[in-house]
Amino acid sequence: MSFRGALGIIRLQVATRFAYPFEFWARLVTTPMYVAVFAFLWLTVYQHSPSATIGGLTAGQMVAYYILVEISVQLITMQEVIWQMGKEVRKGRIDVELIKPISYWGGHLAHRLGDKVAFGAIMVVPFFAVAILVFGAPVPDALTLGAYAVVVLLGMLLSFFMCAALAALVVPLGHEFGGMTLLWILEGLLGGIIMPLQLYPGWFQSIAMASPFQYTIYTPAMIWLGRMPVTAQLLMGMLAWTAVSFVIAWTAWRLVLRKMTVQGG
Amino acid sequence: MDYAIRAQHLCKTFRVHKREAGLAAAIRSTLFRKYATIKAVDDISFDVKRGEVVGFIGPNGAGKSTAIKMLIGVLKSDSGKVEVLGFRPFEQRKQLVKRIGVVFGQKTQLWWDLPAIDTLRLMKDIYDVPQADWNARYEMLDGILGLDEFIRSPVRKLSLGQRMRAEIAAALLHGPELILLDEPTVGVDVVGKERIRGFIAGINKRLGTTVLLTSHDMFDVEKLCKRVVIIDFGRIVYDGSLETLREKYVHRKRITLTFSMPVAEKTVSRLGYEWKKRTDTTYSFWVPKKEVPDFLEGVLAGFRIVDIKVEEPGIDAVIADIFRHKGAGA
Repeated sequence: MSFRGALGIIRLQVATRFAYPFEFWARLVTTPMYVAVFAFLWLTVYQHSPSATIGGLTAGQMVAYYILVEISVQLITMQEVIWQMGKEVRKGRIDVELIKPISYWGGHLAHRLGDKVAFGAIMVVPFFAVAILVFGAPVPDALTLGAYAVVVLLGMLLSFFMCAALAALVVPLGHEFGGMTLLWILEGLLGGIIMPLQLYPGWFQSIAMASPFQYTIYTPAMIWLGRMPVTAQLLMGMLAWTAVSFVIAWTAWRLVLRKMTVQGG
Repeated sequence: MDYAIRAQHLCKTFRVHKREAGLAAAIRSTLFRKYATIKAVDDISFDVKRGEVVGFIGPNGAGKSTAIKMLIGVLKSDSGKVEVLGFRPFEQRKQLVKRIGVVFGQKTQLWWDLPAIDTLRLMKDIYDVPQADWNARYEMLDGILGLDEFIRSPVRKLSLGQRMRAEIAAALLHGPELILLDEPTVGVDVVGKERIRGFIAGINKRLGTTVLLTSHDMFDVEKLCKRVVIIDFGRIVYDGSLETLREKYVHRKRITLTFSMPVAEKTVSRLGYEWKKRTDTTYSFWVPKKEVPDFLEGVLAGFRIVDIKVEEPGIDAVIADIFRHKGAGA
């Protein structure tokens, strides 16, 4: 797909997100509520804890962690790909997408980037501000900021291909719900949405750290907090998982498109 | 011969999940699923020359849409060969779709929540259409389809006819050589249908655009297509001109006679043809084509006739008969 075409899709997707003002403002108001739930829970835990730190994090850093996790979810993860691709396959609407001279995936990626621009950009700045000014998250230096940006971009691709692979399951399973539920559970547990991975028992922590999900949520948050260095090993791990996800998604979709049944007008 | 479409021995089978009705069957099907194989397209071959307008018709579930999806590269045929504008559709989909336009009457490619003009502008970006070309084509399409009346309203607020006009514009702004229209007038009112038909005929005449049209509205087909390909149960049952179709399948004509005074049904029965009473003085007769002159000669000699109307069944009646596998005109 041409750059011009991708930009066009991103522009319209942003416009779509502003088409229903209530939906936009409702999302803007409700998203911080997720963070608030975790913040109150952890502040209570810290009040009753004999130690000032849990898992190496102070109470402020813990809240900042959840704010940064929410930023990861808004900026990086692409669960909606499963819902959209799944709906297209299930409802036989994929033909409408395939009559355009663009890559099917490229089109979906551009749609999701539009979402990221619409919601991410607006929420990210106030979220970072609260994390830094209220809860004492560090202001990263230029190098850390650059590394964070690289990890976010790689994380987007990784999340996109993982979701595309799961979306392909719609054809044999007949519905996207299973794939989405699976992803929510995996991201919640292994990605660090529910709690920082260092709080898990050792064996489970090893599983989580070996999974690709930590790269899209936990890793960026910990990099911003200055608790995880950006090493070549980390980047290689992300690249390797992105490549593996791409190959799985590509193979799955080739099979899907060959076996696809889009019946009816 | 320059062909836009060459399809040879195309086949496509689908495996579909089948289950009995009811809750118990629904629960059972979560563990044990039964499948049936459906032959959606069964060895079809046909060509479309460049510049032709061909009607591709058949009842619901006949395999029309499946065939069209194989022609545009959305579905891969199980066997057979297909070439569209010199491309192998499934393998060269992106190159092919750049040169064709597709309208699915029952599905929209417009962005639902945004004004239709936004989608039309996006098409310019996606198809890399130069601004000047886009402007000229938009002006032409607006002139015929009356786009400016509604193009700045969100698609979800448009009437079906307006939406269809916008869909057609979206499919044509890049100047395709071939357009495939799958039910372009479905649900559209009479005025809207007339506008769309006029437009299709116009671009074929003016630009030489090849058109493959699928429609359940036989009036669309009759108005636009000289040639029809009829598909039923996944097989082509007729491929030829509408004229030949009539000659081949219409064996009887309907003759409506208005007598100068009431005629008894017993008298009418003696004429020996199937008849239907319209009024006391008007009756319709179904007479084999070859016997029409003798029939008319006989009634004119025996009765005082004030009006005679000789009709052939409409193309819809002919095609309905083919689908019922009777093969004779009504």
